[in-house]
Amino acid sequence: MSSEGVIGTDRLELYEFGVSAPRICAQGFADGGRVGTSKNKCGFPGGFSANLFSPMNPVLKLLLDGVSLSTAQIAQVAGMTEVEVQQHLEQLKKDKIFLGWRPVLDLSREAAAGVAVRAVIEVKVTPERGGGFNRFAERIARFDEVESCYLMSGGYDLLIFVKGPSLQKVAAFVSEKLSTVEGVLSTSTHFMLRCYKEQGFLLDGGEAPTTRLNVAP
Amino acid sequence: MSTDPKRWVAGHVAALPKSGIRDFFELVAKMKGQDVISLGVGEPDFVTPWHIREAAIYALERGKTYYTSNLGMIELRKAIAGYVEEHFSVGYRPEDQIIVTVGVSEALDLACRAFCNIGDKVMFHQPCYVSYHPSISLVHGTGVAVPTYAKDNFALTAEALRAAWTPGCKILMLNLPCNPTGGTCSVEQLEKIAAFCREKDLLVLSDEIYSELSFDGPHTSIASLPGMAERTIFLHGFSKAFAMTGWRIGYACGPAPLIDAMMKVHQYTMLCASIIAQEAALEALTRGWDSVLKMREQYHRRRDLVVRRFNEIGLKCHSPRGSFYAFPDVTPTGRTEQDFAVGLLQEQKVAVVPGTAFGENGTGHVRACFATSYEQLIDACDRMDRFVNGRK
Ligand SMILES: Cc1ncc(COP(=O)(O)O)c(C=O)c1O
Repeated sequence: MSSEGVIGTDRLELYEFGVSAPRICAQGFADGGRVGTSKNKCGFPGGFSANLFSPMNPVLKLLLDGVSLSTAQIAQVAGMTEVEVQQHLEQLKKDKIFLGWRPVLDLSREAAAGVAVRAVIEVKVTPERGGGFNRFAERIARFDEVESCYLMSGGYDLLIFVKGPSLQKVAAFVSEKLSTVEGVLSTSTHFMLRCYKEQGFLLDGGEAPTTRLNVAP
Repeated sequence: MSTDPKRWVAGHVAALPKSGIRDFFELVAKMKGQDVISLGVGEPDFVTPWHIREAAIYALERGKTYYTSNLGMIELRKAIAGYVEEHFSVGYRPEDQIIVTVGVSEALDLACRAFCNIGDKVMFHQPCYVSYHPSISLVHGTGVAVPTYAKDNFALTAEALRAAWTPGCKILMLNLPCNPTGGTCSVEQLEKIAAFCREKDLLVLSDEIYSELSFDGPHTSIASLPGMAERTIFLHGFSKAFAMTGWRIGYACGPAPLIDAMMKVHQYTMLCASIIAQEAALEALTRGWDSVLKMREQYHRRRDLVVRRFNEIGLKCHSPRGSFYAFPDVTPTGRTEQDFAVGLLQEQKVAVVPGTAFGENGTGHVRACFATSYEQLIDACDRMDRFVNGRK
């Protein structure tokens, strides 16, 4: 990763390696169809300020393309000054659309990341009168072990991605914290065995090095 | 008696000039391992979208390993008919007005062989794709180059066409958007060209391989203009828009008797295009449009980037309305295109192709392909800036 002009400060302070991917709040997209079926269940606000997305903010577009460009490079491609790029990013952060940076790692090869075990947990809960699923989900989501937490349609209610340094630690989280929360009816924990693709990055192989000719008609 | 093996080479083949691209390719090849950024390429940097590759694998798994009909699989021809109708507003019958070929390259060759008698005159605008003139020479035709100019952003004009025309001209080769200039014609210009073709009874071979990569408004095919479908062979392929250069697949559409003539040559020389490539092409037409749009958007942003940088550096560069080539004027640097390209390669390790590789009307220009990542393009522009202005 290039060290010049890295966007934001949190990116380098936290991580020195890997490729970072911007975390963007999914409900920020005007793509209602994706969450549409469970809109009521989720309680997402119906309409978003469309001006940021139509046409899509060029800075956001470049971030989403998954290319790891520095602010200086983004500025060149978008035809802006670096200051303008920073302003765009600040605005996206203020609007709570752009939530922060995370590196995308092949965790099986990076012991230092401290994530030996990852699991997906399906949770069935009794919705509360008044709060629905929200209060419950917000409570669960606060645990450090929880990477992501979603309300789902279908056979269970919450889907939780957890990570931990060992099987015991993750198991302890499930049995001591998660399942004891009032209202949890059942949990079903699936440990991940092997990762083939992580947030758009293929882990093994991917494309072979290019054989494109340097000069062609 | 001579023992030189060359005595067996046919005279008209021996007489073909060596491609200027080839010379430059060798020069770049010598610099292997030296961090060269190449803007000399002629194909997308994207690998073929996975769903297309996967469809080809699936076809193999199901044992699709046979010859197909000479014209190509009927399902594919139907898909081509639908695609051409939708995107180019021209209707062709899948049964007898479409032939699937081994790239636009083969389609061009078939057309030359099927329509050109010895000595027939074939007009083409220049600078142009390197194969045009040789394809004509290979069938003993006579090439008539029509110049296009930087002042017109390398759009072909009916006036230039009329000025270059001589009695006996039979065919006009068109390539819009154009490799290497990115030039296209406005609808008005195209209408005038069409009128000229009708006036002089010219057959048009229209190579529209870059048409999906049009950035400033929709592409118009000359075949869609009144009275033109009956005198036009529409040539198209999958190489550029679908990033499928290595598959070698394309097609030609036109009046049935003309497609039939091309088919005669095709059946005796090629038999059919590869079935795996045909299966992949079918998938591309059925489900590939989103990928095309995504890639086009990238090319569009890259175009804006390099054109802006080139002009800032002091190379006069019009904004190509289509294709993935920029064709800047390097004469403000006081160098010829050849000097510029060689100097840039040796001093800053950036490869561009001298414009004269595409004909004498490319004098003073170089072709820079922007089908390369943003990082590489920015780096290449920085190096060109150093080369031209000695800064940093
Ligand atoms: C103008 C033009 N026509 C035809 C071709 C060849 O296309 P294909 O790969 O379909 O043979 C190219 C490739 O560079 C081209 O630039």
